[in-house]
Amino acid sequence: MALCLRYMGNREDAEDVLQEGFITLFTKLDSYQGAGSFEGWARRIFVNTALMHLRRTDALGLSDDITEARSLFTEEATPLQKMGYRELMQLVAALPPDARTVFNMYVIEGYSHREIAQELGCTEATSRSKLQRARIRLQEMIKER
Amino acid sequence: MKEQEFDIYVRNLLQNAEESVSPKVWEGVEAGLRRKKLIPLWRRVALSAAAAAAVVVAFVLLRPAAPSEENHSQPTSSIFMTGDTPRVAQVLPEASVPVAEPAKEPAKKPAKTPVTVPSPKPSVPVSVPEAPAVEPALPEEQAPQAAPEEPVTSTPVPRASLEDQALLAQLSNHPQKPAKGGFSLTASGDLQSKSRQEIGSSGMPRQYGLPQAVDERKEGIYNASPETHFSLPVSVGVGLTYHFTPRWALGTGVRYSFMGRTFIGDYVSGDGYSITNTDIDNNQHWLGIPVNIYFNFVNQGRWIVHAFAGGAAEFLLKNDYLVHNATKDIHFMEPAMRPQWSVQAGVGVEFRITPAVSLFLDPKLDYYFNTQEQPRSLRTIQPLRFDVEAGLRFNLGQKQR
Repeated sequence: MALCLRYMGNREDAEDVLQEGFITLFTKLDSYQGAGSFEGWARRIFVNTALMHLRRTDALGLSDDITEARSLFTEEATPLQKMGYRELMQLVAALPPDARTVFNMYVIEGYSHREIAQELGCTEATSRSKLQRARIRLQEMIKER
Repeated sequence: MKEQEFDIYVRNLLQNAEESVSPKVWEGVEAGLRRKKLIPLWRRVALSAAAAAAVVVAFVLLRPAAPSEENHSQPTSSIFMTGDTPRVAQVLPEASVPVAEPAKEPAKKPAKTPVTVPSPKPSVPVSVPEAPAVEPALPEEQAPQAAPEEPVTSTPVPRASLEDQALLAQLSNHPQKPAKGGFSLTASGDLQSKSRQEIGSSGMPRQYGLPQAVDERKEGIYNASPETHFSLPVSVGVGLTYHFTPRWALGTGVRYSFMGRTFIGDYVSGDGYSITNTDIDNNQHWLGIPVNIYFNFVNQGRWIVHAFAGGAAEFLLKNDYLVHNATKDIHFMEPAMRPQWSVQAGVGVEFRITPAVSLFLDPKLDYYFNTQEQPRSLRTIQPLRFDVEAGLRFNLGQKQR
């Protein structure tokens, strides 16, 4: 559920994705042949289901955007280290859907930019750009708190 | 904080987090699974029916047709106990009907152990002519009258032999095989041989393709991988056979065939939208008109062995693709194509359950022409196929020979 919430940004859509993800998982259970971890396989199903939802609602809108984003990262400690799960989830949910999706796929699920580009039908440069924007936006929101 | 540290911190906080889920999600999952199970259930029923038919065929064909040797060696008078006296009388000449007492006494103990327990008078003399003639049944009262005056001295006859003769007598009132000018109706099912190529073993859910940018390919379905899983082809049909001589017959009918496969492919819609590398189910529904000529070359007792050859024209009624999408499955129908022509030949066996009903098993080879013009199926990758047809034949309106 937490995974779905991270991608969808709101509880209602996250529950829809969770439900469809479980249906897909149970009906395709026989296609899991033991190669790789079951958790990874299941996680991928939920990520794909979430991506399909976002795509269907045109939430991704991944046009080529390779504007170099200015980095806000410094050596200073940030308030992030004082934040808990709930607060961080709220901030992630507040990200634009396209940036949030790339951020989730890269940072949490561990996809490479090439894989993200393949999955989302965009260029690797766009994926990098969206990731950087997501990071910066998160930093800004964390500082504003 | 550097980028990598930021990422690691966020990942640690979010990756294994848990959220409570409302009960309605689980209800939705259950409801969704019930809907998904509809098609597989139908397939399971079809396969179960085919398996049951195979078991019935095997049982009937392998069942011993006559009593064992041991039974033959135990002369009994149980044939008279079965209440079939009129039928026995058809077999036995009037003069050879045994004395009344031995016949009537065992009749009071009807067939409890008719085979293994010898009759009280095991040497009940019965004479049987070498070629049993069929004669009208005698009234039961006539037999005891004749017996006391003519002592019978012939050797005992095993019960099994008498039963065989009774059966022959029964069958002699019906045609041993379809007579000239007769029709027979068949109801049958086919199972074809199947080659199997499994879907890739990556274990990853490759079947959930993702929408891609505009695809310039023509609308349709495209194979993304040669790996395909074919389901067992199944056919059912009814036919009518005309027996224009005792040995030769011509048969035709209608036959519905179902062929299914699952493969990894791409779907391109009419507006260029595509889903690539996804799992696709393809169900093909065919209606065929076979025409065969039959030649009966063995006809012995209950068994008939025949050879047959012919051809068929099959028409694709429906070619349905189910494109599995992570959120919503997409149905795509491919337009009908040209008829599929084929030839077939085989040797079959028929077992007469009753004079009017036979069970048949027809193994055969089919060859399909011009398969490259048809949608991909087991036939297109292997045009020469082994096929076993089994069913019931009902003899209708035959003339007595």
